[in-house]
Amino acid sequence: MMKNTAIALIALLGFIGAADAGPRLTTAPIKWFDADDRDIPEPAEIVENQVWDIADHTFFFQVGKLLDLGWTARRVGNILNIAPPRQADDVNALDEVPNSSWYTNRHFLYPMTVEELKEGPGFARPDDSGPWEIVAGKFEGGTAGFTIKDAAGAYFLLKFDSEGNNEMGSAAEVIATKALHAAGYNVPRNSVVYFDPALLVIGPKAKVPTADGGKRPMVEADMQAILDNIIPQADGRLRCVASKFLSGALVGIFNYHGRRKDDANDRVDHEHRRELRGLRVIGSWMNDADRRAANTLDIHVEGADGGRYVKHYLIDMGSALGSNNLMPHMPKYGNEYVWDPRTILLSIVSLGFYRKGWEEPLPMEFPEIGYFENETFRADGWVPTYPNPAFERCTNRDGYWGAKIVMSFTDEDIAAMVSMGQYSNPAAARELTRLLGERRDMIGRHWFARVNPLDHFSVQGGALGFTDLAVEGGLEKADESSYRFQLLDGEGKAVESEKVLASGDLEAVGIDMIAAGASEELHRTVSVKGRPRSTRTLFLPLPEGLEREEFHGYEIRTRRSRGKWSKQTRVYFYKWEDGRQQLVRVEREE
Amino acid sequence: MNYQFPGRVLLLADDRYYSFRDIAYAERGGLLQAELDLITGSADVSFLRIGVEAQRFFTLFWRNRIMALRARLDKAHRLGDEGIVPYAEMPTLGGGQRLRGYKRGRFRGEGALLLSAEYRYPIWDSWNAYLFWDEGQVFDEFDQVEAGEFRSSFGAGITLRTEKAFLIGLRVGHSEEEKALVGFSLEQEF
Repeated sequence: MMKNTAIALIALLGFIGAADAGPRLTTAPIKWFDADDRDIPEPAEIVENQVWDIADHTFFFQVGKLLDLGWTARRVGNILNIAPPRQADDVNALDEVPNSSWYTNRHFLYPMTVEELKEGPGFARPDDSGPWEIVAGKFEGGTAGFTIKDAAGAYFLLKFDSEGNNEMGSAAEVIATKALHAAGYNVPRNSVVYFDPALLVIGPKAKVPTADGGKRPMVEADMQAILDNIIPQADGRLRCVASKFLSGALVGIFNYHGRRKDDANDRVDHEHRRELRGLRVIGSWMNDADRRAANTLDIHVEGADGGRYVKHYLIDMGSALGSNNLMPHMPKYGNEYVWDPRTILLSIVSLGFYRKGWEEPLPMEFPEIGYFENETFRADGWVPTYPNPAFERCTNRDGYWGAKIVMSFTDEDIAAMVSMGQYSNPAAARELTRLLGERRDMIGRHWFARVNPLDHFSVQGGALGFTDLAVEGGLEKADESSYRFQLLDGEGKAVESEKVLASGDLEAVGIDMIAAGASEELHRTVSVKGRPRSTRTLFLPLPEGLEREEFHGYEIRTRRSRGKWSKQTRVYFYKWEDGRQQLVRVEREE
Repeated sequence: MNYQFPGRVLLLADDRYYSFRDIAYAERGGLLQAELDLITGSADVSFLRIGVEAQRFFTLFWRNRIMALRARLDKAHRLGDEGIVPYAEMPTLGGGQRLRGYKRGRFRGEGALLLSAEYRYPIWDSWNAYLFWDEGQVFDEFDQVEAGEFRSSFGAGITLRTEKAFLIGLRVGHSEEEKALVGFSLEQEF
């Protein structure tokens, strides 16, 4: 019996490995849009149960994972290096994520201007030309607040910073909103707003919960009880984060595993969506530790053609950066799960000699930032507070995808987004910008060392163009970088010997390098919005005499100084005729 | 608790953090304690019960790795020639508080001497593990105390605390009489 099981396991692993072999090449257009916005009836609302969600992912999911033969066998195969990791299902032939109801390619592929980054999904500024009618009090969740209808009839949720943590939660929420939007996610409009409390009036429908579980009309004293906990600004105004209500019908949360059975457009298991796997890396950048199902929202919205579909949002970013909503992040957040059997077991058997790097808290220099530091940050070890099924399946390719988005934010970009947190102390804003820049580079160094960081491929005229993201991001020096390449046929077999391209050795191998600025056409390819990249694109001239109407490719590896060659990246193209080629596929080894 | 900010953020006011640290789970310092009870009852029950205890706590290596030491002496002293110490009032060793590798009340005499060493370390926010070594002996007169008469027990346990108090503990003790004596406790042993 055991022998049969072992044979079956080996056969399964062999099959998994074989199934991934060989390029699948086609001249069909690259899929840049996933048509998951087809009209569907309004799904039933998935009611969130926070306790169950936490218990499920902390305990039952972890145990169930071990009992899942597919998961366990693949993990064993990964460790033994006989089976590749299960890659994401929703990537296109260029290893990118198509636009969908989940995700929109933004800053990495189409660099946003500083003003666009600041605006994010839009501003949330209630019209203060008239009173703000309180339609409900916010008594659940981490922070107190109100739901209001402004003078223009628009609805907003106002959330206040907790006592003693002025600016912390509101700034974190807004900054993280801008960053997640630029990264490509659907997020609500969140803005820091200062307002005169005299604008607030209690609406006839505003209710407050009673001790017996019922509700009664809100009275002046209820409103005052919330306001009494808020420290006003020097001019008497109150600071809050205003979140504009999303339009459409709320149909509950989305989970980070499985699919909605009542949404025909939901065709990819969520744990196998790259944008959700790669969110782990983007989350690690901002220490967005509470990224779980409870902080998501599905909305049944109207599409451009009048049909209605489910759009998937990330919400509630108050537990990002140094904030944990009501109080600063605990030092352990981001370093291990709230309940983490791995470290508990290690702590028990080590008799206390296993010392966690974050055990000794660091001083909080800026209370308005909260607890956010890079000294104990590990790009490979970052985890949210509770296990997230999609994050746990993040492969090196998914991690690279997330890292290149993080690396696409320049210091100037970060400063622009941080400015939207409206810190009253400029030194706090500078420090947070510095910390985010430093952490960005730590993330880039980690993931770019695991996957060859060549990207923005294009093939035009007589050359294959690409960008070295590690050089572009300032992590590596151009004159210390070498590229080893080899021409492939459409089967992925080498048809020429390897050559090395290095800054000091260009003429010897007959390769020319052209600064990106010389290629306006390429810029239009990678940046439709036209924000110039401060980068240079490398070009590998294609050999003379390549067969027409055939697939060809290049295998490229990268090396820094005298270090080891990186994993390979394979780029395939189809040659229609001399001077006219089509990029068809990018494959990254991990 | 084990890994939170120094002390604990308990109260926020006027933009300042006020914190306090546990006294129920000491990391440093010590305790000297003496108890004296005069017990009289029927004509022939009249004795003094004396208890003296010294505790010392210090950290090893890093914060939260705590060495806890305890020495305790209990002695019942008869008053008058005819006085007796009832059996039930005699100091004992064994059980959750004293000589943890033996069953409760396993040893009984007019005097009891207990030495304990415990190494405590964190395993989770509010969970700690510990290793203990207890040595103890009972006697009637002080001149009966001998180094070779100590009974040994050792073991390990896990404790769970809330923010402010000890909640529950589970331990396994071993001695020459008990291979693995499992016990629960609802208070910090020392």
